[in-house]
Amino acid sequence: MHNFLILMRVQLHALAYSLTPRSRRAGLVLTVFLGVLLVAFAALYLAILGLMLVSYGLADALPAFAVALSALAGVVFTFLKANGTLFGLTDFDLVMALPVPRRTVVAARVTALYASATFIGAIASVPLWAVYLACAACTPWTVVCAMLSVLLAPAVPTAIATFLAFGVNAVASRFRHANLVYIIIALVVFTALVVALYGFSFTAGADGNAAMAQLADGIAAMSSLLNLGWPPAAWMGEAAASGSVAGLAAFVGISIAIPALALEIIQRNYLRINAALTARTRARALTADELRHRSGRTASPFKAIVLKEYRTLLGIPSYAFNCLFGYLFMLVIAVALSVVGLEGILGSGVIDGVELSPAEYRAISGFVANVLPWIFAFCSIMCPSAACSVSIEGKNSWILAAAPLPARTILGAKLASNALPVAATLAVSVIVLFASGQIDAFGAVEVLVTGFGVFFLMVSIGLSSDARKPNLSWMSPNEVVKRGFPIMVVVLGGMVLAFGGGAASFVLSLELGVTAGMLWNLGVGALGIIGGWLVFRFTCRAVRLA
Amino acid sequence: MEPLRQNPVLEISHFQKRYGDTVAVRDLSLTVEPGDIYGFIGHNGAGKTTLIRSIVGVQPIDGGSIRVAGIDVTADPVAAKRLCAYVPDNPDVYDFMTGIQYLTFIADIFEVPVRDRQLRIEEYARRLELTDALSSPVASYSHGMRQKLVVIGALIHEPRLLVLDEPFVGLDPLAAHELKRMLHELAGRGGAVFFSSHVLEVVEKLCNKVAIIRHGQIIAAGTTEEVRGDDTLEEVFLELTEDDGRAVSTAEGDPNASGDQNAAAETPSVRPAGTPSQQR
Repeated sequence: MHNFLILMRVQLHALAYSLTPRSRRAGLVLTVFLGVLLVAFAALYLAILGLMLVSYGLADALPAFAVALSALAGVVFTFLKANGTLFGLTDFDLVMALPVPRRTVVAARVTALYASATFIGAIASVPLWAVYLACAACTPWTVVCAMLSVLLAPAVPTAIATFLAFGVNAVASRFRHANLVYIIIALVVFTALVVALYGFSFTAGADGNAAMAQLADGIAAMSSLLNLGWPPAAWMGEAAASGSVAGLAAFVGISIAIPALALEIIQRNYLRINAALTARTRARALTADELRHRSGRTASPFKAIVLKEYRTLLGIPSYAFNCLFGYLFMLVIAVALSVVGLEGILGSGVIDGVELSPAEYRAISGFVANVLPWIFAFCSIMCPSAACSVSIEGKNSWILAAAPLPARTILGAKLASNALPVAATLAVSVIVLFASGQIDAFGAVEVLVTGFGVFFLMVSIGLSSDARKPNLSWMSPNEVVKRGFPIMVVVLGGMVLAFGGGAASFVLSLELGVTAGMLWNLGVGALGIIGGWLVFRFTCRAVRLA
Repeated sequence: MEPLRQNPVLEISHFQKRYGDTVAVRDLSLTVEPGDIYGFIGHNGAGKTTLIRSIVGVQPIDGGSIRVAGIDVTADPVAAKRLCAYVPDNPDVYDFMTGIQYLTFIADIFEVPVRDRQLRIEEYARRLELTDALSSPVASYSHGMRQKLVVIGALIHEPRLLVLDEPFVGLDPLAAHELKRMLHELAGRGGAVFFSSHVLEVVEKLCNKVAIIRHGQIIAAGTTEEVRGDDTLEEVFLELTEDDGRAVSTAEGDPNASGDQNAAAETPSVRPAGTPSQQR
């Protein structure tokens, strides 16, 4: 037990270290603030969802939904974190050489995963349980059910996801381009999820009792499917709704037995598991001609760094996940608008609180069209790869620091590697919108200039911040691509600019006419481009990449 | 008629480096001439890596000057870096690249002509037995293979000054032998090599010049023969370390002593930089 506690303390230190931004107090405050904000937002959203289910007369489905959401959170978290926490460890040799039983080592790692998954699961399930207790049944029995559900619901999914993560990583370690496939699949799945959600909102937003009844039927069917697909959810649902002791016993029993079994299997095969993950297959050796051919490929230093930046982006999955969604969203929005039309979307109720009749839409179509560039500006700041591109070099930073290149070439290549695909994606989106008749030529210029201007200004500021105070000692890329100060500056600053700019454009259009809104859009976009360029030039003069 | 005097390949004058309030290196001066293989030894934390990183422009300097072939690394870092190559103590390179991608990337950065890069990659990879692994991702490389890759990358642009930090760590005996030959060849072509190492036998056999650093100050420097005198380099080094230990012990035992190890280390107990061993 003593050894277990010591190993757990190491895990907690590692977690605290990875979550704490280094050298910036503002970064720490911002991280905590954002974390609290996100949790509050998620809790509020889920509570509203719970209340909606209660209003449809589906209160008894809430416990099962709470268990299922906890389970889902456990699966996703464990799947992403198992490799690095439980296996594929950088300190594997050190830990395994300690005079500590293997079971203790594995138990400490599994407990760390389980505790984190429970925390994430609790964020998802507590609001639903709170609604259930407040609106359906608040008895000592249901309170006990709620507590056991929050504590145990992620246990079985964590165990299953551990094996799943091992399987995927074992396969991935044998393919050179596994990362790329992994990224593409994740992006496609996420985009499909977003499209499906909005498709659902599109249907749900349709007016009429028939649609509401259809939605209620859909949710009820989903609840039945859930009970069939994930029996622990059904058992807990039965326990809470009908006081079934057998249901609760089954839930608790399986939540303890399966993780215990998984722990035993993992600890017995721990060495084999890690060996399987670290054994990488080598590529075929190059022939003399191939070597001569490949070593003869040349590029300018600028182009070489641009290509290197793309390799970095695709070589680190979390970096890609964080910085590629914006591109997809721009294309999805352009295609959706070209298919449904702005009028169709605003009339469908897909955007919460916005549901315009055709006559209302026609009256304000000019003002609304002036907001469109700001939607693309918002998406463009979700592609901020350059903003952490200095820090992402990490332990490899000596390579560019020792390179005989001025800061403007290195930083310029990093900025270009981000700006070029953003500009290209905006251009493609504009072509799609223009070809489908959603915007005219002037609108196309607005989307391009405003979208790119906001992106260029914010990413230049982010890059400047990163180049002046890089975090090169990160242990996980998430420290710089998710929680890094420059990324936060870009995303939060960009959001303020996009929402503020869009609102100002709408008000200007309303007060002074559509032309005033257009000029505002173009003016802010142009100022963004000029401002970004000035920030970049200042950074190149002020920064020493050594 | 006096022969034309060549610029030293490396000229360090009164170099200083601080980390906050801690002085890592103080008032350090040395010169490396063309053809030199210069060994730089000292205990852990003596300031070896600090100096090396400043020479290659990976970190700024706080005082004094460093010149590579007459070019000030602070005034014109890009020109100075063009003449240098660096092999760090940890050969960290981009995991997501293959070996050949890394080498062509470095060749692009240093703008090495096609023919030269083809020949050098082919030759050095063959000599270090890395050819078969060049198409594999760096992530699959062992420490020694990464070290070989970084060495090839360092030699790809035929540097005037090759700076290496613990270059023999992780290399197999064959590769270590080949690397020594490569260093000799570079020096023979008029270049210079400056490296740190804890393997004193290698330094003694390989280097024509040696400097010993302690607490950020050079305490002995000169040709290998001058520094070691009639002893082995290991004996000389241990002698200096023992002096250091005695000085610290004395300071610790003296109730009036401040306990400042740097102050104790400044006691001129051993041959100063450039002083022949006879003056010990």
